[in-house]
Amino acid sequence: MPDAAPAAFPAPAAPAVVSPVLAVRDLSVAVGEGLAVDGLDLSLAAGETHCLVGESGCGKSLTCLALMGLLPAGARCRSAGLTIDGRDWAYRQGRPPPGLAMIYQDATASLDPVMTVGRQIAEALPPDLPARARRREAEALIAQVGLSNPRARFGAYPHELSGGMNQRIAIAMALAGRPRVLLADEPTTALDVTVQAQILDLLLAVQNSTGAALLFVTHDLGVVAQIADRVSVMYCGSIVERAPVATLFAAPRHPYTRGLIDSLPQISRPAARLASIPGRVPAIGARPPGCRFRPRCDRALARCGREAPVLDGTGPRGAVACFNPT
Amino acid sequence: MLRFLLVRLLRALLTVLGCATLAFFVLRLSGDPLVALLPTDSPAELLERYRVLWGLDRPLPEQYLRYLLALARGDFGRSLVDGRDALGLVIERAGATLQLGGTVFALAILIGVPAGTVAALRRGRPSDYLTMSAAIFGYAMPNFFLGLLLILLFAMQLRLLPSSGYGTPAHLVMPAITLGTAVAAKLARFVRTSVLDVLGQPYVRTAHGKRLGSLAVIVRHVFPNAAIPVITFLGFELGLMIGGAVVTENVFGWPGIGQLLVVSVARRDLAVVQTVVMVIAVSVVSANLAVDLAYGWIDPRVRVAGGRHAG
Amino acid sequence: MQQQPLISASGLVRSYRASRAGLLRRGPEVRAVDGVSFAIRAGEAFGLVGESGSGKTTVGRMVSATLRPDAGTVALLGEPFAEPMPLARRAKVQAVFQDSLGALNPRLRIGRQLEEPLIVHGIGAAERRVRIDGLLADVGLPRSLLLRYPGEVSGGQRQRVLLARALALRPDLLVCDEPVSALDVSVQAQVVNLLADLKTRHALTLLFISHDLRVVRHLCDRVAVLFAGRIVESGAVAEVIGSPAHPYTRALIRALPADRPGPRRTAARAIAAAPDLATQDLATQDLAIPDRATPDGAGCAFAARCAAATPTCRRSAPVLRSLSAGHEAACHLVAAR
Repeated sequence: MPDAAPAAFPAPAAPAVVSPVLAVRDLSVAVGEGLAVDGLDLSLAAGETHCLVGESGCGKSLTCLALMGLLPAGARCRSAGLTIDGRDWAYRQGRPPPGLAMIYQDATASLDPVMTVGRQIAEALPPDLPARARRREAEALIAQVGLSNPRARFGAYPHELSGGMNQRIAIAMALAGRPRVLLADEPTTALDVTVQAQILDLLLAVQNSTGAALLFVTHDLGVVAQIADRVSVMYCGSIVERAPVATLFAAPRHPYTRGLIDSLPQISRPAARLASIPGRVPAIGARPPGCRFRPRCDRALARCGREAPVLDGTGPRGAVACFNPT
Repeated sequence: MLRFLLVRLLRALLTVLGCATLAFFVLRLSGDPLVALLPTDSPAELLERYRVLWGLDRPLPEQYLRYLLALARGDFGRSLVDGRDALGLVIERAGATLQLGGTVFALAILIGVPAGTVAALRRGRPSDYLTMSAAIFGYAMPNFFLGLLLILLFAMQLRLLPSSGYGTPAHLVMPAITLGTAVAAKLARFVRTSVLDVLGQPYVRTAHGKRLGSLAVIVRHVFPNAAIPVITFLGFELGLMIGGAVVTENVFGWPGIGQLLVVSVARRDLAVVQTVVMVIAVSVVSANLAVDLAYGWIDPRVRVAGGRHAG
Repeated sequence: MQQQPLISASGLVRSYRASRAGLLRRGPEVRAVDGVSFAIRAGEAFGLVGESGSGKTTVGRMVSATLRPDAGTVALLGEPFAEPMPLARRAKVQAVFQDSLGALNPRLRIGRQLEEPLIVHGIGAAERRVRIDGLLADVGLPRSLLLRYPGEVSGGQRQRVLLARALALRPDLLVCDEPVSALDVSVQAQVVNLLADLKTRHALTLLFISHDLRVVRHLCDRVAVLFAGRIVESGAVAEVIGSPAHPYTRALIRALPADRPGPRRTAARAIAAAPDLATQDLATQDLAIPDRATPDGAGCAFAARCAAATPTCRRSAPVLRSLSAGHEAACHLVAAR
């Protein structure tokens, strides 16, 4: 299992506004020679849907895995503090913090192929439950995620169910631990659009009924537009912009955010040409000095090549890490 | 499931029949049993009398047919040496072989599975290298050579254990270690690969995410999945082990069917050799059958042959 | 206006035998494509949209002559595909698939792989060099890439390499099966734009296979919606998406994520209003593999999940009916309206 890396700094003071259900400060994940996640701050309020959006390799999935303490071997992580539900969690890899549960991209692969889905759900229930109650609880969860005939489904194996049904099972499994925060890593990317729509609805419904915060990792801005309350846009391991969803789409401030939004094909307003961002995401070892987006940016200043901007500004318009925002 | 079983049984039967046929013809082609059995200066009419008595004067196809018919009745023939019932003779010896084989298997699993698992869990650390070096050593060392070394050390030098024979647990120690370490070494390497493969699967990460505790994850999720290839391996190994038993039993004077086989071949004791071959064939075939059934038991994806399946 | 289509498919049928079966008994036959017909005019971009298991990839393979149909024909300029297909004619239809890594040999330099089709078609070395330079310019790749191996370049670049290789023989028709699905949004936009450019620059005809209606909306002139191996609706893109007629098309469009944030919608509820259907996933193997409404294959394949299905829908399969010029749908209820 991954290396143990205890928090090296004293716990942070709780942010001023509402006490967040999850707060992490200065989270970094090192993979090989570079930082895949570089000094990330994140806090979630109860009931909030927070989307972490970015392209492949930006570190969004590793952020989730690091929070869960499930980083793959070879990845090391460091953080200045993790607070869950107001309590500091001296976390280390290999030991998922209580109150957190995760839903993965490929539901079928993330379920044990030789154990019935019912037992896999029951296993995630609090350990003090008696055996009979476990089964009843698991069946109730199966019903809660919208599968018919929970008694029969309890004994089904993952290969007997479709990808969408397995994702429902995975959601039931995550709910079994009565989480305060649900981490969902591209949970609908592998699914057909119609199934995706159902799973998104289900996630929002369970979030509503449990009051958990949802950290939803995706590359699809359409999904973000549909479900998010707040959005953090990630590029090369750092958050470059954070704003409420309406603000972000109406007035993106970081050139990367604007590029992402413009390059998303829209069903209602087809354009002759899609806008696109020139170039591509640099490899982790080949990131430029200064602002990492500078080589692809059409608003770059001389300063951008020298200094790296930091995420700055709070308040209704959100925060942006850019020297020349729009 | 019933169809599955029936087909497997039919195939097993065909395999056994093939073995019986092969044993029959190879033995007939390898020389006249009478010359080996009777004194070299026996008069011609004595040879002829025995030939008729044992039915060796008939044409080969007829002998073969009679042999098969007798088999179908459960009659394995009599030993040419002492006239005893061949099957009874083999069963008498099978107990010893089973005792040794069972011990060897138990030893192999008791050493191989934990060693392989530990090596996989501690991949790249000293305990991994140590276990795997030991495994390669055990794997590379020929059975009979290790057997002879053990005899030299424990029987000749230290006089702690009997060098050969059968009956007490002390007799069992050296042959079991000789055979068991080799199987354990191979098994450990196999288990390590298997477990490593499963440890990298997303569902193991999911299980850790449920805060199950490492032991529960290993026992409930890693082992059942890693067991599937390991069981295949054990099925094959069972077949190989019987071959190994022939050598080990002779080295340690262990009165099992391996020893019986060698003695009977030398004596051209047709019925006994054929019966030993049959018993070995049946046990290998049953082992494979058991492996197939174990698959279905462990892996639900095999169980639903012909049923629903993921698209 | 009326001209001979560049490529036309008529009555395409292709079945697969389900792989998992008993030892003596063969698996049930699955009709992946069940009577698909369409025609694409020269210079047109034709979108084929469907979810996993709809048979769209199978159609693409039959049209690109890499899979023979069980029944039906594909014709290029009115002349049906024949076996064996002459090299010169084969060159007229090229294909690009989603898995750009799998479609390239990992141990051959990219330059060599671009050259290969030209060598096969007997084009001289000097001419080859000129053509490859032109191709690189077309797809926007630097020359330095020629010496690299497929594993050393990004997914977007590999997809461009595949495009260049497909264009090397100057095909009339380019079949693209999910060419941008594996790419990040910003890169996806680049490749979609590139396809649009190539289409105008080389008067290329496109069969664009995708699950993503949004991309199809941008790139294609006409679209056909595939469900369980049959076309359920087809027509001009703006019309099919703007006023979808078939309940499945409507469900598909409603299920799309929002373009812009707005009041929260519950997309799924609209798809499966019938009792207990909310619990079934649309287009899972339960339904997409033709678990038809009736065992003999009669009835509408979508009836089981259609909120408006009537006994007629379960009894007889609807055929494509014209709604307006070029807009067709296969639904009993649409005809009745």
